[in-house]
Amino acid sequence: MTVEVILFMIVGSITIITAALMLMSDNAVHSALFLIINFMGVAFLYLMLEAPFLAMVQIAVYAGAIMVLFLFVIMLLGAEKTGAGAHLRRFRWMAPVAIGLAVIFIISVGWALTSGKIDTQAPPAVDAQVRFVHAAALPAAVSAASEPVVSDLPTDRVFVLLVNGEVADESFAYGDVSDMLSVTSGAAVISLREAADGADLVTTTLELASNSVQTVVLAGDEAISFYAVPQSDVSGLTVFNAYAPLPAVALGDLKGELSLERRVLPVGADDVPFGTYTEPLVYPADFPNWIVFLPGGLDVTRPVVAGETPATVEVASDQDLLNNVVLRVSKFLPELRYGDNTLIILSAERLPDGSTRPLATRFDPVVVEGFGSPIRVGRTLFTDYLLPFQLVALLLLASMVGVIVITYRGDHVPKPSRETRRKVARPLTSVITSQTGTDLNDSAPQLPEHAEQPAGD
Amino acid sequence: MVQTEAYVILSMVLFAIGTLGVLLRRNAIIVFMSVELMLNAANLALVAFSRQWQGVDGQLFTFFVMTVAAAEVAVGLALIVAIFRTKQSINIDELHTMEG
Repeated sequence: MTVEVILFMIVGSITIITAALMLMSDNAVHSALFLIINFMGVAFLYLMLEAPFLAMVQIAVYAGAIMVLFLFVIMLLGAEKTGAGAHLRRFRWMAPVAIGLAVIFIISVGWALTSGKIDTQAPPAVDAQVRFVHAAALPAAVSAASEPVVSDLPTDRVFVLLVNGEVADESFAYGDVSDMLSVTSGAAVISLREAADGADLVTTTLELASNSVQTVVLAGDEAISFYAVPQSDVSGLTVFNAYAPLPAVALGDLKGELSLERRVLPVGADDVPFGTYTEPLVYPADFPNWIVFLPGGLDVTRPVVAGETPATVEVASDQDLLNNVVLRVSKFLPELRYGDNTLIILSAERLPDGSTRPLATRFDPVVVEGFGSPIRVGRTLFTDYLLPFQLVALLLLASMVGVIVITYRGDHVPKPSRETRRKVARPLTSVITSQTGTDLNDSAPQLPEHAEQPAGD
Repeated sequence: MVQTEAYVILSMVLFAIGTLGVLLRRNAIIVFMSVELMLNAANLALVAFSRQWQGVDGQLFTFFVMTVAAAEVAVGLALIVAIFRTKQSINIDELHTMEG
């Protein structure tokens, strides 16, 4: 019983109850107000169905314009109280027949739904948005091409990136980040070649989830491969270890000033092997002094129950930690945005003398516009459905003109005869009669008679 | 995620209530409001299937239905006002004979 199911049942029952009350109410104004509540309930259901634009249009147009028009006409005509149900005898048979038909309808459609006649397949897969990062910096020994592929990849060479057999990027060099590409979700074959028609140097098959945003990193030292890092919704910091010569790194907190005493420091992520990424690490508001260090030489105590207490590392002095430091994360922290998940890829930068040093690159999350958002709806409305949009606008114009034509009285404004009684239950005259005690039909106040009609019509 | 069948059942119940309103009530304005209820029930089913198939076309069609319903309400209420001027009644039992 998730919150969504409970909400659906509450709002659904409100909708049904107000619809039934609208049906059974004697007072037309009450019926209109019940219908307004019904429309609000339907708008909430649209919100639950990932249609926020439609929900707002429902409230603005249906509850805000159409029902107000109804209320205007009800008040104008004085139609508050008309008896519900048929009074004439020859229409008495309608009620049981109508209720019987409604019951038959509900039963038959309910049976059709539950016996699977209505096609309810799983939704089709949506393309994943993928960007590719080249972070394999170090040359390796030459070897025959086999899984995992090992080859000579100096950092100044340019490669061709292929996704599912098609060329995605023709000049993919070290340090390149491609644009966001749409890749069919599911199993994707990503390969790297020297030239578009050459042999594959690296081939990896990755599983891309539907409608996800992924960062695919080419990383490795001796065994080069593609790794997929999905974009997380949790706000915080995700670190991907593509620093080839190291097997595992850890993320710790120096906690403010450095000290030379023995102390125990918390560790955010205690074991990040090469090619993996951490869970999103939430950074508190006071900007922790985070570093990435090698856990090898230090004594990292992992918690007995994973996740309950943080892992800790005991150091004789902070110099031990700094001797093993790979990267100081704190230099990125002023640029990190709250509420987003920021990806930091830890790779190696190759210096001219052949040595390497760690290089961290920050990747901001990419916002994929939601299904049912005004952007999506508007874009489809004005591209695929432009003609129906114009036709409906024309229809609205025609209906406005029609309304004015229908209600236009022209030259003959009929003077209401005072003998004609309104057949509505409580006309205004009877209200005044009952409250003041005089019989209005005999002595109603009236304007002085004019000899001619006022000009202008 | 609440199943699409639940939304379709809800839409079906609302449609049935709207149909009962059209058939049983004598006040022309209440009949009109029941027609609006039926349109809303159809819209709800459209949006539910649009979510299931992840296609924004269902929502667009709902948008058009809302617009056309607005136009229809305007014209229908104008008709009711015009009829009321002559017949001084909106009880459809008394209006259905084309006299006067």
